[in-house]
Amino acid sequence: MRKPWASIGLRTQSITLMRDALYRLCEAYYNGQLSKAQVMLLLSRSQDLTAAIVAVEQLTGAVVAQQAALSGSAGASSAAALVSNAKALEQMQTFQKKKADELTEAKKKQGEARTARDRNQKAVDDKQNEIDSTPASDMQKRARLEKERDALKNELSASEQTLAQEDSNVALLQKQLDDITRVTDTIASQLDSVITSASATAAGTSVLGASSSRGGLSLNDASVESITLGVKEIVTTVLGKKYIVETCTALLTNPRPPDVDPVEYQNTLVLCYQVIRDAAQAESKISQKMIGEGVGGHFGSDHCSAAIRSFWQPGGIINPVNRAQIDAAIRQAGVKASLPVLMNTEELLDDRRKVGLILGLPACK
Amino acid sequence: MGNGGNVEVELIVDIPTDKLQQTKQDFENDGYKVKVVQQRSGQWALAAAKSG
Repeated sequence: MRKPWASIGLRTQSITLMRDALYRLCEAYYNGQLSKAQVMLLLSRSQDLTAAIVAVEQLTGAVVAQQAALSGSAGASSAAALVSNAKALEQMQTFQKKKADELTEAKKKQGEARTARDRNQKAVDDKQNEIDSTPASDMQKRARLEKERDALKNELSASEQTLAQEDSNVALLQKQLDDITRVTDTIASQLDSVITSASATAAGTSVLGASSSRGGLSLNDASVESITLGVKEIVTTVLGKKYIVETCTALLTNPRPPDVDPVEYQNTLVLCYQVIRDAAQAESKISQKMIGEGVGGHFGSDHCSAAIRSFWQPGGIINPVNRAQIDAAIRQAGVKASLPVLMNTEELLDDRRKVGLILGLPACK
Repeated sequence: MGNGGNVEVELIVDIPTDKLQQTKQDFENDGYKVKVVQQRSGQWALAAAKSG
């Protein structure tokens, strides 16, 4: 437990490697060898690798500063190992919180972008209605309105692009957060495992020795096995992570390299659009579900469900006419579930929204 | 969500306690006969049937 005061100025191999990799990344960018999108991708990978390296280093105690003094018993050494792992967990949790905050901010921007897009869409529709209701004989007015409508269409197109970017950003951050969460959970489970192993050996083989690889600690076979499994899990997770969305983003935001076949390149771009669209749609569904059910929302208690219920039973009294309208909306939406199931099944939120929109319920937008 | 001839049968599981009454009421208001049982997890399962 006398470790910290002897660790000033510690430079592990990992710290040196990470510092060098980031320096080279920066250098390559300023030499024009990397685009902004590629830097973004590589930084994202670097963050993932950093998280994994910190975890592995703390779990294994790969390189630590030479201890200035050693004392204590087997109990103390077990505690030292646990403190080491607990610190790794704390660092990861801080990292996780930071990423979660970024995601919240991105989702907020995504919501604003969606609102702007919807507002522009409505403006275009209103203008079109105005054109349609203007007599064909009033050509001057129609021409003016059409010009205004085209300007609005341009605004709509810009807002759609912004929304697509925000969707993509949310998808990326969500993916990173999921990865960080996975690593954090792995450390937490390994910490539990180490606690168990350490407790089992407290009165036995744990001893202190200045030249041991794990900060002066010797661990028994079970502890070594637990740590090895944890490290393997972390490395497998991080190295196995697919950066397909990030890679596609980099590909789509850069010009075609001259030595790549244009047709092949075009086909790849089409696939990339699909990948990003799928990822954005998946994330959008998740965020819509969260928004629909509100913070702390539960089973069948989202706003849309409540709105359908109020439509069906205004003032708590069943309205047969509205009930028939709901049945018609369910059929029109192609929903197979009955009304009570539709309102009380969490997974049917999308179907509820469809039915609610047909009924014109604002809470289901 | 099955349909046995002219009888419609529904089954919903994992209903939290605080949502049970509302869920049961929705089915009863739609003409279903309802049977409720508690799961080992503490949540509730609801079976409902009505003539089609």
